Amino acid sequence: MAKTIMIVDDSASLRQVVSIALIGAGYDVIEGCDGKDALSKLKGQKISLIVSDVNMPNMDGITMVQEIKKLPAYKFTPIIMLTTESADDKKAAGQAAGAKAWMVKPFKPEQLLMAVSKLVQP
Amino acid sequence: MLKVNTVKNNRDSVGLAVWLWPLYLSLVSIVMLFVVAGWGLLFFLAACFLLCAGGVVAWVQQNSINKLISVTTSQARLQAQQQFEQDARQFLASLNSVENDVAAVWARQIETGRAHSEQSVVELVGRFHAIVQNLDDTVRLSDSNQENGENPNAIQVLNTSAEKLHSMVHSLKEAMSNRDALLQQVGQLVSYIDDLKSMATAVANIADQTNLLALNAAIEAARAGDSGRGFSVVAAEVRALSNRSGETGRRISDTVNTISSAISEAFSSAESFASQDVSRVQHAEQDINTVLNDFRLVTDHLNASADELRSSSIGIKAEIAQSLVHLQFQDRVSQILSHVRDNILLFPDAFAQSDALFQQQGKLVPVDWTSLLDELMKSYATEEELANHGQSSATKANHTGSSDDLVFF
Repeated sequence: MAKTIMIVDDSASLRQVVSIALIGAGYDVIEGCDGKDALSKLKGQKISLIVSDVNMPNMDGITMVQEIKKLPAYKFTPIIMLTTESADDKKAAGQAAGAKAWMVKPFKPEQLLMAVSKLVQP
Repeated sequence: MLKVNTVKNNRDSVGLAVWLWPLYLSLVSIVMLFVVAGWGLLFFLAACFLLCAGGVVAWVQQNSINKLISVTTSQARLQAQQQFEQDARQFLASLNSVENDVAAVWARQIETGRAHSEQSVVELVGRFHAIVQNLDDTVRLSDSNQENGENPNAIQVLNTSAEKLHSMVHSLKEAMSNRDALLQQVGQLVSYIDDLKSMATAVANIADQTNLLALNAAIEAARAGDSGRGFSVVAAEVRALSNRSGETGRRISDTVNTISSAISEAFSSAESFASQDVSRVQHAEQDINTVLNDFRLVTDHLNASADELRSSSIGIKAEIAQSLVHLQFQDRVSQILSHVRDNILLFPDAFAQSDALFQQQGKLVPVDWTSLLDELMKSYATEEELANHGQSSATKANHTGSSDDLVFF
């Protein structure tokens, strides 16, 4: 059975590009347009990994990671931050919130798939 | 302010011209008195009086002029102040218009552009992805057919047909070879014909000799008289038998000759047909090879075209897949436009602070551009925004931190 990955980004085009890369590699995909939307769609789903943007309306990526880490069912779900931000302080905030990796846009699909396969539990 | 300065200049020039006139008049009067009366005590006293009177009148005039100028100047200053306050209010009102109308319009225009661009890129990505999937399906189907042998291509059909046709030609050649062997066996029958002929001749000779013996026996029986009468009957029967045997021998010989001719004719015809068959099979084989070669040329060409098409499909698929990656620029464009939109809406607040200070304290305080620029910089997420902001490379390096694209924690 295919693993399910959640993509959270306010840019529909970027969600689409990430989805195409992941679906092509055999994963199922759930999309969220911001942190709040992602949290509402997360419940009840078996998610193997989350790929999230940082700067989003309603709820930003770092806050979303902090909220997800409070949920027992998703406490150990690995999260990759995929963002245009490359500042060290932002990365440190992501790490402190509980993210497992930080990837700067624009991304190469093969690099994203490598990071995903490394973090998704077999 | 210009009006106030003008009043002051007028006061200086008017003051010099007006308030000294009494002194000028007293001096002119003294000169005229001197011309009329000449030197003397009276002249000296009159001159002193005129000079003192002129000075007093000039002083009085100067004071009154100064008071008049002072009043006029105050009025002008008040008017200028009122005009300035009115202008400042109008200016601040126009800034309020920027706050409420222009900035909001700019923000809406930028948002509309950003949303249109986002929607178009989403559609573009969808279309490109559909093309990639179609090409992928085409290539996968082609590979699958080649591997499974389903929907065989022209080359496979050609090879199978060639194999079947060559097998058929081989069967024909085998049939011809069998027929040659049969003819050879029929040819061997001809040699038996001669034996049959000699046997028929032998039968005829035996019949002749028997006939001669029967004749001799009949002569001897006649000589024997009555005692040889029975024998003469036997001799006659033997003679009749020898005649019939001779007749049978001749018929055998005739029949053998007929069979021999028939076999020779049949053999000759069969040989002639065999030679024609060899030629026909050779022609048929050549024709088959020519047709197969022509067909092979066509199928080779078709196959090469199919390979080229497949190769092109793979290349186009890779190019489009790469283009999909490049379409990520929309995300950066969208972010930059969103920041510009949000930052434009910061300007009304900055102007509003100056407006409030003016309303409360009557002071025109300049907008704090430095704080505003710092506020703008906090919103930046891309290196391009920092570069456009005019950040130095050192500051930029500090801000952007590590240039690694992927970091694991």
